[in-house]
Amino acid sequence: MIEVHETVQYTTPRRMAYAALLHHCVNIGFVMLLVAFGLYASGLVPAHVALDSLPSQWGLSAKDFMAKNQLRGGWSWLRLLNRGDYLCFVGLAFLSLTTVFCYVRVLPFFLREKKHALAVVIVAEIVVLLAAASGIFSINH
Amino acid sequence: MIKRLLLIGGMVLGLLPVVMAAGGTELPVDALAASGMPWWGWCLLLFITTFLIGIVAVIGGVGGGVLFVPIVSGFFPFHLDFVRGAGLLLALACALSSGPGLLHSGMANLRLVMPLALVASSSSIIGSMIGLALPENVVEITLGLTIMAISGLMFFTKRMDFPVVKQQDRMARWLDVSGIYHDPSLGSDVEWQVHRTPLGMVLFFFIGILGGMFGLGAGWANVPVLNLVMGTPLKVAAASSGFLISIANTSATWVYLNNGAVLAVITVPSVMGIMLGAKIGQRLLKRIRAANVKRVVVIMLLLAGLRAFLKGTGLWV
Repeated sequence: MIEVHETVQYTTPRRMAYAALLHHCVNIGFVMLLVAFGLYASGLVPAHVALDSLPSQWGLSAKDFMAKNQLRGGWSWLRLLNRGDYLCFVGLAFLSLTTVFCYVRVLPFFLREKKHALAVVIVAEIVVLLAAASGIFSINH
Repeated sequence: MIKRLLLIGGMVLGLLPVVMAAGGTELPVDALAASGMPWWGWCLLLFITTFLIGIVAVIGGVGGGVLFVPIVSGFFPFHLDFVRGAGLLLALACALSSGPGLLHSGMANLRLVMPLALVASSSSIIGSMIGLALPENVVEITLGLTIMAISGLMFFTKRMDFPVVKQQDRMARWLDVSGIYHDPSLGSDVEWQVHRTPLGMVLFFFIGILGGMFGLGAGWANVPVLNLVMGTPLKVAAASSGFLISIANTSATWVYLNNGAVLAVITVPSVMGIMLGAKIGQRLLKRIRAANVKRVVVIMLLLAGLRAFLKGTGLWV
């Protein structure tokens, strides 16, 4: 006999909490991305690497591109937020952090329900994602 | 009429790379880059291409990333590093935006996805580091072979709506992986459980490596493993796969971001194009025969994979 753990309405509080936060984060992330790209592409915010020079550079590897434009890896783009091309990274980074936000949001539900195995999985996933985000997995530097 | 238009659109999309590559035999990528087309022209072409990919991908039942990476890397002048970075981000964006709906439907299941996503997201870090460290031609060759294998997988693999799972395995019991959802087509509730969880985890380890290495969303592999190996109903497998990509792709995305393999001018038009195309695709989905589009997708994958392979070997630069 299958053990049924979800409610008949299929909308457990943790699932609703995850979905609601995900919905808000995605909307915020896309607005950030669109606004930043609009500012960048329109030239209202100057780019670090001039848009007109990109067709001669986007065939370079990431390593060569960074070397040519005196860029560093990791979170160094935070110092270039006054440049349109790196302002777009705010939206991209926010979207890439969304899963961490959602996992932190649902962790208390699993702890309250004493689902310890899944709580451990959640904590491990947060650690993996934060480690990836930290920049320790570097190839070029 | 719509079906005909869509098939023509799919064929145009399939032929677009071939036409561009026909120029590519005489115009190598560097020459294409110096062809005089301004940056916004490439952005516009990229937007149109990803828009069409978005339509075809939804109807063909694949993620956009699996079409995006081989087509754009094969036929646009961008370095493969930036294409893979964009591929991961567009797969992530599509998966994140569909996440709330999948969770509300009750078909994407957190307890099923979370353990598998942990394995896949960890291995996708390894895959992305391998992918960024290997020479471009090696990645192109392996990408081509992988894409051609995926087209074979799509063509030959049969899926089961409701696989029979007689008994949960021990790990699934420990992780509490089972559920219930309402299937409107049946008008009833469907209870499900899984088996072979350890084997599924091993397979998700390799899926994560491939996804990170080539910048692919991994729906093409997630669904068969969830459905055929672990025994989840097809609808749960499809919904959970989309949700799984939103987690597993995140770690690889960070590796590409932190290693400078993301260019906003490539990524943002691609994300917008594919999301807009996916919305149109969702509307068309009910009005056309998906089987026909799936055949077009298989052919497109085969051509794009062959192109990547030939480009990597230097036979067709």
